[in-house]
Amino acid sequence: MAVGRDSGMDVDALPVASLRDVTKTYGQGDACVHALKKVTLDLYPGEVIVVLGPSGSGKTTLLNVTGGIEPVTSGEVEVCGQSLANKKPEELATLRRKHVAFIFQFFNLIQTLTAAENVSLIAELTQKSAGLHERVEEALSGVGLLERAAHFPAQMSGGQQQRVAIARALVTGPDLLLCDEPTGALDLDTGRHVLALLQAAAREQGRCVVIVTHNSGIATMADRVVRFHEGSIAQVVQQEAGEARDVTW
Amino acid sequence: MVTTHPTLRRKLRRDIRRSWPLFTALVVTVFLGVTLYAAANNAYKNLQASYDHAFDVQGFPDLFVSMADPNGYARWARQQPGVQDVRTRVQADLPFTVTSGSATTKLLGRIVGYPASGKPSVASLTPLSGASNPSKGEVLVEQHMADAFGLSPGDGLSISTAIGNVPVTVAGIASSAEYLWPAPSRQEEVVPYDSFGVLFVDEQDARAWSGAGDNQALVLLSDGTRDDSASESVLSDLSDGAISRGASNVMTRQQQPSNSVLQEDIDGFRQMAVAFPILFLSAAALSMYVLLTRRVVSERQIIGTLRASGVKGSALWWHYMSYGLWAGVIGAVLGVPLGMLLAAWMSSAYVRVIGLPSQLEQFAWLRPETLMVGLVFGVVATGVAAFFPARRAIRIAPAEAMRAESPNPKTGRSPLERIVPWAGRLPSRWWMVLRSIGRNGRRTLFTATGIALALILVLASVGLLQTMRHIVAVQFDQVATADLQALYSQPVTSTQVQRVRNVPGVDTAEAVVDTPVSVAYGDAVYATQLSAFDATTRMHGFITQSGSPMALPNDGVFVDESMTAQLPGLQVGDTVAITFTDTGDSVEAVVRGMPFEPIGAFVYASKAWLHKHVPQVGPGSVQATLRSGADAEAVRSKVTGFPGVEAVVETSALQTTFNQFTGLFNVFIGAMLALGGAMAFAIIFTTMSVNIVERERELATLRAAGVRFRTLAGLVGSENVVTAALGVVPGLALGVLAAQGLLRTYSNDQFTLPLYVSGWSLLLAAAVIMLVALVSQIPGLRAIRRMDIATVVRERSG
Repeated sequence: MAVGRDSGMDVDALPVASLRDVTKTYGQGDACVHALKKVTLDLYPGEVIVVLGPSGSGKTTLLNVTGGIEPVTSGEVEVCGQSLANKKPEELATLRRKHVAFIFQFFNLIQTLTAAENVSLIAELTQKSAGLHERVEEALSGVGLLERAAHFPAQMSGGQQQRVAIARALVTGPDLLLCDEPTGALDLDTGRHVLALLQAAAREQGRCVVIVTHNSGIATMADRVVRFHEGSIAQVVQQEAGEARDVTW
Repeated sequence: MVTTHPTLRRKLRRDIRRSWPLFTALVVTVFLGVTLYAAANNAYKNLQASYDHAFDVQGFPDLFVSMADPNGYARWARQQPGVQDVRTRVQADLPFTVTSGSATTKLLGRIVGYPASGKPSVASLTPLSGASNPSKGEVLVEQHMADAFGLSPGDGLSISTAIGNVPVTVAGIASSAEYLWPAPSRQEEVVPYDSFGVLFVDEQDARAWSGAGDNQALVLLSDGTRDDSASESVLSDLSDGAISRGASNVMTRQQQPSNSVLQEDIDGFRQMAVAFPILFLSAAALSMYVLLTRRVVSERQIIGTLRASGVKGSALWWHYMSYGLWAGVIGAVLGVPLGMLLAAWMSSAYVRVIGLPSQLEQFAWLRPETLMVGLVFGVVATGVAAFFPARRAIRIAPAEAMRAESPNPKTGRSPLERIVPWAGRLPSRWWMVLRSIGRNGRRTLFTATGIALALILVLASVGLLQTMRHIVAVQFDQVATADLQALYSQPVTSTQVQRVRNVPGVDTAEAVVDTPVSVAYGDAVYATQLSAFDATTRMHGFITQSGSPMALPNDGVFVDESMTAQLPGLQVGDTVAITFTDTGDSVEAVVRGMPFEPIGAFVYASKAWLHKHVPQVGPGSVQATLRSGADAEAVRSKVTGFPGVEAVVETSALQTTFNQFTGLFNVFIGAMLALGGAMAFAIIFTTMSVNIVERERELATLRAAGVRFRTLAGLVGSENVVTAALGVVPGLALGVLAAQGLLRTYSNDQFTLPLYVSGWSLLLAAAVIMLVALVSQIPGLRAIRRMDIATVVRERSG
């Protein structure tokens, strides 16, 4: 496969996550909805993957089953070499703690905690707290919000909140970053800034970043673009990744 | 209550179905409150109606006048306005001997003169079996005495009279409203049924056996006068007329011992009918407010959309009001009939205990006013609570439809963080818990208030229970320390005392004086009893309220602490005038102390003091203490057989009677404790569930990030526990106050009920409520475990 310029993707590395013939259906009989139909996909460290598709095409479901917050109907999902099949909820939580982080469209910050506390909370609850303070500062610094560490979400713009969410996701050092419409609630400039941080996480830190979006303009920054249609992968395009700061929509 | 918009009606049904545990919790709280109201109110009205009917049927007197020759007074009283009728009779306390099987019991009894034929218009009887009137040589036995000794028509007993021992035959068993609670006097309101009995005898027999003529006049007012506001002045005039004609005692209907005791119970039911439902319905209102406010906030975009689309504000207002009103209606509709059933059971149980004849019962299964008020209570409580969130709903601007995020909850550093500089170094999860409590201050306040209400109910009940147990222990372990009292027909001699002392099993014995007196201080006069002991007596304990012993003075008297309510301003060191009823002597005495006694309100003196001032009043009884392990029954039997002994009373029998008296009470307390726990559960469950729903997205995010369920449960649980604890502190204080208030309603000159509740009980009550708080979270925590993370994390806030 071609490797994009400045991409952090390591072609020789094992996939961070693998999906094999994954199917996800909801409901039964006439009300049955096939959200995913025999999807096969590998996700590699250091790459940015943009998953495109219209509403209801299965993009978010892909994210959910990869991160283990939804079970598959059939097929295999592996994350960092561990199969998600037959794992109990607490085992899946452990897996997510170690290897996966999510970023959501509406940030999902805890309103009663400051930026620094939102970032440190996850690390506190999921990992050893040694060096936590320094890691929190580093994470906030990485997203350019160290001076806002003591501010509450209500005191920050949408973009700033999403950057805090990114810092929160990165502070635990995940291998896989799953982003569901991360710029859906943001304007163009703010969105570019957020996308740049995600791109840096892949290029500089070697994480696999999956961005689900209906916004095709974002696809230019991807190492790979996966197009979904009615629950199936319609197209996978390997490309030379553009700069996030040049994304437009 | 029905929204006019069919789709809104459908939404309402689905909203209720989807949140059925919360809706059920609300309904249950309303149901409990309305049930309590209906049960207590109907029981109170049933009992009051039954008493009123019994008093009507039997012509229960409004005034009891004791005097040497009442006939002149009776003639005068009949002429007075407002008086329907006056009857004179003989009433005398004489010893009875009842043989039941092989056991012979001597008891102090009372004979009451009754016509040999016909039913008198004043103070008549309700015959239960046998004859309705006593012929010469026959008696009608008051039902409690008949039950205690298993007497029925044809049985025999004997009366020790002025003309000697008289054997009599039981002609019938009867019920008298004067002895529904068979108390000899106000000073002896609790006596064992086999220690005091009443016989209704032919009027001529009564005069002969008592050795005197009529000595009581019974005045019956007309119904119109009794119900009139002027009745007090009529009674006052009649009392004054009696006193001016030499009456030794004047007692109103309210002061009559049986009526006094039972009326207090009825008043207790009446207060329960108000106080406890208010607690429950307040809790229901708080829960409804919290729940509905949350619903309106979460649906504000829907509301905005509807408003933007032109839906009328009134339709929306009714939609949200309906949620509250339906909870109130369902709870009330279920609660009223159950309450009425409970009332029927409570009323029946109560009248069975006191022995009110069934023919005098005036129970109504359905009282329209109870039904209406119960329904109104339930609907108004939840309706008022729903009003404010419903009003908020119609004030939401259509522009809210465009907003992605809800208005953020209150955020910021808590006061603790500002005060404690190093607080910022505490782990984030601590602040998540502590600040979450302040994110919705009103909800936190309401939750804490609900906890406090539940604790008030629990503590009021526990306080009553502990206090009753404590006063029984104080009364029978520290105050009434004699085990046995033998009453004699003549003044006790030293030989008789020694004879008792020599009975195997008796530790010590002492002659004791008990004589009726009236105590005057200022303008107030109080009729009571004076008891005189040896200065170093072991028959009676004199203690302060804290339990410190007091020594009987030789140069004054002790006056029971509770008497200060009857003799306002009386203090230790003051001088009172004591008039001895039997001799007419009057003595001034300095009050040297006011011992604490839970039961009774007596005057105490040393025999030396009494002999110095009123030598003609001598001891009429011997009190004795028994050795450990002594056969009390054998001692009693032995002493009963001594010549001159009229009756023997065991203190243990008195204690048993008292415990029976409080038996129904304990059942009531148990019910209140259970209901208090249920109320706490319902309140906390509602508010905690709302807390969890509001923070679903946060919690789902943490789960998505891999936070363990146990950790999450700990965070949520900690927040709820801290909120509950905020209610515990004021709840404890208010609960103690409520218990004190409740005890005050049961206290009178004969029952002194200072609140006694141990520190352990307070801790236990708080611990129980906290445990309920923890348990009530379980459904909410289960919901977190089952949460569809994938769905929730994508939701907009709401």
